[in-house]
Amino acid sequence: MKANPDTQQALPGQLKTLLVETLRLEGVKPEDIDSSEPLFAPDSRLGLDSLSALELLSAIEFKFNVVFANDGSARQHFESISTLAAFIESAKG
Amino acid sequence: MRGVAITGLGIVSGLGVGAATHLTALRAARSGLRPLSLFSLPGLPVLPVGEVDEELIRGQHPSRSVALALLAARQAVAGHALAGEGLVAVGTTTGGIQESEQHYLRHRGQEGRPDRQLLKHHPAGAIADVLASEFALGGERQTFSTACSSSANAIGYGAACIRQGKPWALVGGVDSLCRLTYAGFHSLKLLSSEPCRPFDLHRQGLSLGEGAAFLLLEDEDQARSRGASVLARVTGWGCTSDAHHMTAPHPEGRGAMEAMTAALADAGVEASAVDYVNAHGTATPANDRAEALALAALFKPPGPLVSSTKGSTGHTLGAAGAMEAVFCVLALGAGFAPSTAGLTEPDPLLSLRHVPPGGLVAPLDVALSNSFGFGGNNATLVFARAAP
Repeated sequence: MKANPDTQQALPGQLKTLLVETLRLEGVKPEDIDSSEPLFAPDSRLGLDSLSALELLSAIEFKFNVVFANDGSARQHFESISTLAAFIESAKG
Repeated sequence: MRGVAITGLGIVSGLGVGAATHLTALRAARSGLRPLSLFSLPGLPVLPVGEVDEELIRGQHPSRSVALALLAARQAVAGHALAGEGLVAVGTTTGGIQESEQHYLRHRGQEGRPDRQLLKHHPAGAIADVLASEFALGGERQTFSTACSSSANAIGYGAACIRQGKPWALVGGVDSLCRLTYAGFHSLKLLSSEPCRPFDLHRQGLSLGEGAAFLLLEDEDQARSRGASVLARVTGWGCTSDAHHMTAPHPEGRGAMEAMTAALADAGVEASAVDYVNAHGTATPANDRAEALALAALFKPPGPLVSSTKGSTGHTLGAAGAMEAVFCVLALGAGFAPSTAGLTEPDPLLSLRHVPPGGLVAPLDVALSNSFGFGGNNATLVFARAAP
């Protein structure tokens, strides 16, 4: 049986849509974001800053029912869509 | 400085009666809001409210507010003999007005009319009088009427009295639904036609509620020496005034932020130590915006988890501060942050870290509770988990 690509893509795809909607990114389509693309690099075309990080963190916590620890570890989860998806999956067990 | 232990809790609201019932309801994110049935007012819609089930207080006392207060205070005292010169402090906005309204509707203020018993508990201070009499409590007696921060201030004052050496303090608040409040909030266009949705993009106002909550405070060492279990501690209290408007909060939440800052300073903890905030969160556009601004100004990202339990109880005015103090104590004790009932689509303009739907199981050490009243009467309390 073939794996359903929709299911496989579900979490990263949802995160990309959430990112664009939450941060009101104009001119960026969810499907144009690469899952391994750095979110906060200085030259990132997404142009995220610390304020958008908080917005995105709150939105992820609320939507996926997970909580990032307050110990500074959240930074590493926010590297890319892939790392966020991995965190959500591990947090949900 | 003396530690202030919370050794007793009592609560009644539209969710039911007792701390355990409320923890179960919060875990289920249950809403106690249903269409008003206590009275009807010509020309006004029947809106969802947090109304106490009649069965819980039937025949308990002629005054609805006193009956609610007695029910909650009895649980908080739990049969413990309160000896010596302690404190009874009650927060309320309208006291026994529910029966005064019935008298007015029957007799329209005509001189010499019967049913004068209906007016007996009209003064706001009557509730504390009845409690003192019922439990044979000597010592100091106070009534706070600072709008929606009334019972938060009663608790803060009680904690201050314990620090100064009083042996115990029975503190809390009560308000019953009444026509004055219902019609008044309706006139101010602050009531939501659907169950309130704090911090939601589609929030349209608050839902009123009623009930009572009381806490028994004692010196921590004394409580431990008598073998009482310490449920949590009151560690800080701050109260400030907006000096801005009769009903609207300061648009940037200036007084709210000052109250939180003062409470944290009183508790001697940094903002970063706060794990959970039980927000005032009335679901009015103005309150939620101002409170979110104040929280964002005070807490560095990502900040504490925030929720409003008014989506479950409605806004119980003079009882709100005490009810939400009980919820903070339950949250610290159970390691559970309740979510905001009614919040489905967070307002993107409010920079808040909402407790995810269904609540969050996590160790919580410090909780902060906000109560911001009309006239810019702000109070914040800080609670800490009891040492094991």
